[in-house]
Amino acid sequence: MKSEGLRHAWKPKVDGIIRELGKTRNALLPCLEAVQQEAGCIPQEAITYLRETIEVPSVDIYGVITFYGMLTTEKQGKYVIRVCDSLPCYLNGSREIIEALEDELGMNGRDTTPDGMFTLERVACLGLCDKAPAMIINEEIHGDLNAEKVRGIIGMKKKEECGWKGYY
Amino acid sequence: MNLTIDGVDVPFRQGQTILEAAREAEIYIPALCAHKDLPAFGACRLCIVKVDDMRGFPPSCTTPATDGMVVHTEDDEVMQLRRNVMKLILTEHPHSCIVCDLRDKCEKQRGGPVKAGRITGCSMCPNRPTCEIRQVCDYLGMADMDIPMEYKHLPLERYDPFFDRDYNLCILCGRCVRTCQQVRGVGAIAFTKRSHETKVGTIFGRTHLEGLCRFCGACIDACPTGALSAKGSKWHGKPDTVTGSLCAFCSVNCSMILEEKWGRVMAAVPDREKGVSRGYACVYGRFCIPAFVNGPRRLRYPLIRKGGKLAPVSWERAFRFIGDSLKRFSPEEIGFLISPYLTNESAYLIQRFAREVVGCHNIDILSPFGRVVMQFLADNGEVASVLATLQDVEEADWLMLVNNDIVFSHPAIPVSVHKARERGANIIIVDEEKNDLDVESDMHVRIEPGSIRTFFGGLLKVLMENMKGKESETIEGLDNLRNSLEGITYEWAAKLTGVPKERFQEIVEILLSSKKGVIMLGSRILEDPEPYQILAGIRNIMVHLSMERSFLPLLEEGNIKGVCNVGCLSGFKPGYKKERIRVMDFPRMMAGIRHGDVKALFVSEGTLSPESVRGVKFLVLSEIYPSDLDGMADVILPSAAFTEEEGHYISLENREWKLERAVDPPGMAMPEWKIAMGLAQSFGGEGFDYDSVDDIHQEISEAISSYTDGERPSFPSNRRLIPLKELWRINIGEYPPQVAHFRGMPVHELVKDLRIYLEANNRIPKEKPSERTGATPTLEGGGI
Repeated sequence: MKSEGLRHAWKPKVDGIIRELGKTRNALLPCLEAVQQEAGCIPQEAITYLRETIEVPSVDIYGVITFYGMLTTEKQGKYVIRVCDSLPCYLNGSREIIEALEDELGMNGRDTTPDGMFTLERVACLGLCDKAPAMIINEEIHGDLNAEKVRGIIGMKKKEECGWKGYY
Repeated sequence: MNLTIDGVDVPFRQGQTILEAAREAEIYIPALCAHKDLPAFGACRLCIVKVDDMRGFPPSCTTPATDGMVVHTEDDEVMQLRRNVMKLILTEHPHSCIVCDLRDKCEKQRGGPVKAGRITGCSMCPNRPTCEIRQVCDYLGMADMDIPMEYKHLPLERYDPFFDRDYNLCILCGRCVRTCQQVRGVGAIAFTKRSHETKVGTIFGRTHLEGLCRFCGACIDACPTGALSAKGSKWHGKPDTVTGSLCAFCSVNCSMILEEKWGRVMAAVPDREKGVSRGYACVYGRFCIPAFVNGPRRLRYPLIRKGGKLAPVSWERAFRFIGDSLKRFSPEEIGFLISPYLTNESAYLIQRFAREVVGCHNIDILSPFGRVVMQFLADNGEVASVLATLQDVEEADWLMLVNNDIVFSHPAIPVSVHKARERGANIIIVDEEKNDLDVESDMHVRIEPGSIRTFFGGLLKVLMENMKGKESETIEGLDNLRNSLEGITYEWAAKLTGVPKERFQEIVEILLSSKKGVIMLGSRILEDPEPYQILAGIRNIMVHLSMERSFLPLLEEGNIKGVCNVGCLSGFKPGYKKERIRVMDFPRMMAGIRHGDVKALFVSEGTLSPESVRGVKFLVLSEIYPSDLDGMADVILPSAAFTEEEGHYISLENREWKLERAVDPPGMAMPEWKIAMGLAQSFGGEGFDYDSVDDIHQEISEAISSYTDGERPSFPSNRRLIPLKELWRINIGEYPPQVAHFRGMPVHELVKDLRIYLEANNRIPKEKPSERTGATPTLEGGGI
């Protein structure tokens, strides 16, 4: 019962948005954002529900989800790290940042750490070109990065989680 | 209004874009994402033009034409820009053959594509003859590429039935995606991901079979590249001949172009220029025709039973044998069962043979639903007038889809339903279960199984109460009908149908809102033992609303209307002239066989079960494939399929279409009208020497006004309401979902991919593994 309630926690919010914006395509993106915020990802039930209420083909909704880096269909970690790999960041060494992150988090080709704490994503431009290379951890901006700085930031996050005893 | 394109004055209509005006005037502007059936998209940027007094280079597909506009399409600057755009497009499309110096020589040597695992150049691409990229490159004179190409290394998608996908060739013009969503109203594919990872894909990357794909093939026809290709027909290269004909698998009769090579039909593509569907056929027509008509088990020789075994003989022998045998019976003991897939000419000659030569008037058609509907319409004297066309569907303000399964029985019609919906029509679905067209509808009225009759009774009652005192004066029999509905209360109807009273009122309000509406009735009403009552209920509603052209019974078989028109419906001579004598219709014939009254039977398709004809002493069967009935038959005549004969079909919407001959029939098989001629001559019948189908067509046109195009009498002169019987809910019979047939042969029996598709959608029972590996059944004696 409880899990059912949790899974559909997004429903009232989505209904509210649809009431406000109408049953049109315009409501799609705000609805998806709301679901993402509430559930941490966009489950299949949400896609079916939206298809039935605002009449956008479900494959189209899926297309929108995969278009935006902020929307996902899979459960993400507590910290979602989004590293920009668009041109300005790439030129300023985003490749190095990503390598450092992967190494520090022990990703081994995964998207999310096994403990469900960190998710690493490569995304297109974050609009932080002035601070290239840049990344966002949840809603926190980190700019002018280098490998050392990245390791420091991740270390801080790990410590926040587990105190000074060390993370792993 | 006029605009000038490259110095030529071009007229245009309000709202047209420059590209549309240019295309109508046959001025070529290159474009890869624009498509005439789709709204402008503005993605490929190849159609950019120069317009005087306009800043920059606007794309002609999105720029509205204005009066006095001066447009240059072949300006040097424009051409250079287009070349650069094309270069960017080509960086993700294998193009080595396009810019190759030896291209002309190479293509002279290689007539067709080289079959290859992966397509890395035009010489390996089955789409080469029709490739639009090549056309545009030729127009732009793309001689070299200074940007290296990046092959996407995407896996080939070959796991779905009917078509293969190689998105390494895709240029992301979006035509397939837009066709799927906007024309077909299906929405099986969309763009997924972003920037260089963008790919056309399905939801969660599933297969098309698991997704919503209806395999109509519209995406293949829309694709400008070779990214999408039909499995069965991609490697045969350029066809020897092309013939414009039609698809006979259902009564929509989509115009198809049949491609012939080496004496066989290799592919069929929907005709963009003419026909009802205008380039949008369905899975049956687009993919199944070649495999169906070319099956190796086609009957090739006439067979007669000698000493218990079937043996091949000449036509003369077969005709003589039939003649001699039939003469042993009195005409009342003979029955003719006509296939609704015969052409008008064939059916006409067979009924003439039966009536004039044999003297037998026991003729009926082999179609459960068609017989009920056509009998009802013919009895009420309104064969053409009430029927809607697909254009009426598209222009309707409301549609009511009753108990149907058009997504599988008539997959071309949902295109029209989608058009109506786009225009804002109210779509009401009345069904006992989940319907695949739910997506298109705001109102899905789910009724209890078996209560469809009650539903129409209740609806009529609510309608009559709404219209009380406002009925048109020409209506007859109002009191009778009212009396017959006396016993019905809302509560009672609501209880039986499961539809609340307010719902009935809502539906009635929609019905009263406009006279432009269409009721589409599916064959599942046959679950009711008295489908006449349902038809009467619908007719009463239409008479009340004074609606014209508003009834579309979804007749299944290809030419059922034509076959009935030319006198094969029981009790009606050609042109629906009532027969004066007592005749047996199909159910009576079946009873007659059991009681021994019917001793000889001529059947033109093998749909009957062998048990039902056990009492028949002499059975003549004409068909194109062996059937279960073969064991009972005394004579089997091989007939021609619809790709092999000429003639006329009358479609669901009462239009006459010409069937053209694309190939010769296999072996000694003959079209049915020649068989009828031969039979008549062997009987000594006179007036049966026709040289061609046109002679017969001429005779039919003179004999009956054919109720086709143009002459559509207006709504029933007879506006008598039909009192209804009690509307109790009754035990329902079984009526399996209908899938495409031809001459009694289900298409999926011969087309394996169709079997996979229909099985996945639960339209046919799953084949047992043992059957799949078992030997194919052969004819007794195995002479052929």
